[in-house]
Amino acid sequence: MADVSAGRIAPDLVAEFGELELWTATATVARAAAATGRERLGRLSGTFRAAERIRERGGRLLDAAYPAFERQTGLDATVPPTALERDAREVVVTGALRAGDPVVAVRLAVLAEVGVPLMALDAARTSGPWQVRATAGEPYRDGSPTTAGDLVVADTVGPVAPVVGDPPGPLVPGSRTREVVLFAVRVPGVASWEVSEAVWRAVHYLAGT
Amino acid sequence: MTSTEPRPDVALAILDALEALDGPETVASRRGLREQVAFLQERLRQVLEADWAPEVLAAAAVAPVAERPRLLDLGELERVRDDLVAGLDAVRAAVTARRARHAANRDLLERMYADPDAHRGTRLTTDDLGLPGCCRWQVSPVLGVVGRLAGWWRVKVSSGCP
Repeated sequence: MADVSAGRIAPDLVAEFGELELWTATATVARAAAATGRERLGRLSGTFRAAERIRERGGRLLDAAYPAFERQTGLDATVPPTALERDAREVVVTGALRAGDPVVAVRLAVLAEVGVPLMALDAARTSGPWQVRATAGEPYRDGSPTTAGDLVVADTVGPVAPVVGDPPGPLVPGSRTREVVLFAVRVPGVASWEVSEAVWRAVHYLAGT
Repeated sequence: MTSTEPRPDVALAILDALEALDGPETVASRRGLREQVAFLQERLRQVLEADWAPEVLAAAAVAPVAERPRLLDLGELERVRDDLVAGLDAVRAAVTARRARHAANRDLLERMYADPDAHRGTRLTTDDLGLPGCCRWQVSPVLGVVGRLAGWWRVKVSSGCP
């Protein structure tokens, strides 16, 4: 079983934001993960009070500290920054949480259960250690541009994902990906253990344990 | 005798250093602004929780300062804060308009009860009245076609959520 480990936060960001943390784990996707993922989402669909949570959290499904962080980093917090959360809000209409592949199913389950935005990258395309830092304008792995000061999760080569939002397409794990890097960022206002536990939970879900 | 060799441009060096200066007080100012932004965001969340409606949420939307998450400078953080304050004002206007609409609909409901014949077919829902649940009030004829022909109208209240 993969360990959940703390990534590095650039010192200037610690000075700016205070309680930022990065929790990562490399997980293997079990063959049964797709079926157990569907089963888990089916169970959650019956108990997840999405409308109530959306109302409580100002139109969002995440912990309320995340929209505040999005505001502090220049985004409009009334619009979810990830496709996962935008799609998840449809549960209010459809009544069911659905996901195409096991990794998305696990991210959706973690979002519904603990309200922490969990991201996943194809482990074949990035290798640790990872850190949260501001870019100097260097592009993502796929050539997508960044501007100086963009907040990203970076590996030893360069930026791999924005600190909030979807990573560039080529790094997103596909339905055949067997090993993924999971990460979640703790922002001020969220307990450290909640975020590390969310990553740990996702590792176990993907491993089918 | 004066040498013509280029000399270090001290004035520009001082100005460049000034631009790069990011003293503790600047960081503290940004942190202070971020706290204000978090405070205003929490107030916005509380308002939305207390009076949830799509139009109220739409009023809270602002043009983002950045396309991607970034380390904002003082000016940008001030803009985020000011936009949030403006957003809260827009939310106040939306909530006030909603309250006025609910009050008008409550008056209409009273008139529907007082004079059903003058409000034939009029329908109101709990949402129109700002109430929880899914009840519906509709002015409909008593005994269907018979009531319609005889002019017997009444307010019929639905049984609520399925």
